[in-house]
Amino acid sequence: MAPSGRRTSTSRLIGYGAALTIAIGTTAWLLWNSSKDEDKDMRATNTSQLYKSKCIIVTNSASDSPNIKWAKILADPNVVLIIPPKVEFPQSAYENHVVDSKDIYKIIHCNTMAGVWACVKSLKKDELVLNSNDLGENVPVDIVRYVKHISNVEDMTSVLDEVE
Amino acid sequence: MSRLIKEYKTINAQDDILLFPETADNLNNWTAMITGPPNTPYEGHDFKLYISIPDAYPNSPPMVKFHREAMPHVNVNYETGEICLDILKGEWSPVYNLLYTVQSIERLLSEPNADSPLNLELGILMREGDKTAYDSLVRYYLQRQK
Repeated sequence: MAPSGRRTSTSRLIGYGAALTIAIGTTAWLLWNSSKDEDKDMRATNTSQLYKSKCIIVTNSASDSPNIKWAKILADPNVVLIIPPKVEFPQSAYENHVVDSKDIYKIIHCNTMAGVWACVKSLKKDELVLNSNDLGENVPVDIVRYVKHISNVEDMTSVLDEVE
Repeated sequence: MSRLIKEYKTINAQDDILLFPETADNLNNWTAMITGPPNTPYEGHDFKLYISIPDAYPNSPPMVKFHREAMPHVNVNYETGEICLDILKGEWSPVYNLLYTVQSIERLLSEPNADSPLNLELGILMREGDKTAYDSLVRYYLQRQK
């Protein structure tokens, strides 16, 4: 009788082991699957949600556009505009460009390109938005130490739509 | 300490100076309020200075700081409030006093010195001669604090 009893307890142990393995496997699969979904959600999230604070270098293509609602963009406390030399910020040219006087301080005018990059480095915002073609010069290599992400865009209007 | 008591009495007798010890019994820690000079981006703003007196005063200079993240200036470390001014370091003389020190710091606001920057980016703007960007950036930091 004794050997048969030992067999019963051994098979019970094997049963428990198998059940435990299945439970751990199922849990691991569920966790892996849910993290995959989260990754998908993250990828779907647009950049404006990923990066909280923004520094936007306003170049001519953006400043000439009547469609960008600067007042709305500047109402966000985490946005700063940098105006490079020879670029006019159209404060009154278009209706949408009229910025609330309390937000004017978020528009930083520069007379030199060295000044533009010094401002970007000082501000240390999460995201730098610019159009390097429009800017006419390359982004300094060390800028990546001061911002988390650089959005170098052809069409600034579409990016600024996201900011709004 | 007798020198500090003398300074305290002199400062106390003047109404227009905002320089006072933490308590009348403790002259080792002082506070001063300075006003942003006209025609500078600091105009319209007041700034607090924290002054601590070392044991060796007046043979050693007082230790003076702005509040942390309150003073965007080329000669001030924005994060710590540390000030780079010659009389607070090697150029100190026992003939200087607290009032002279505070007035010198007030003067520094309208006469920034690009040769000894503690704020590197503002130092670049000064050296590049980009006063527009310097003033814009200073105003941004000051306004953001409000």
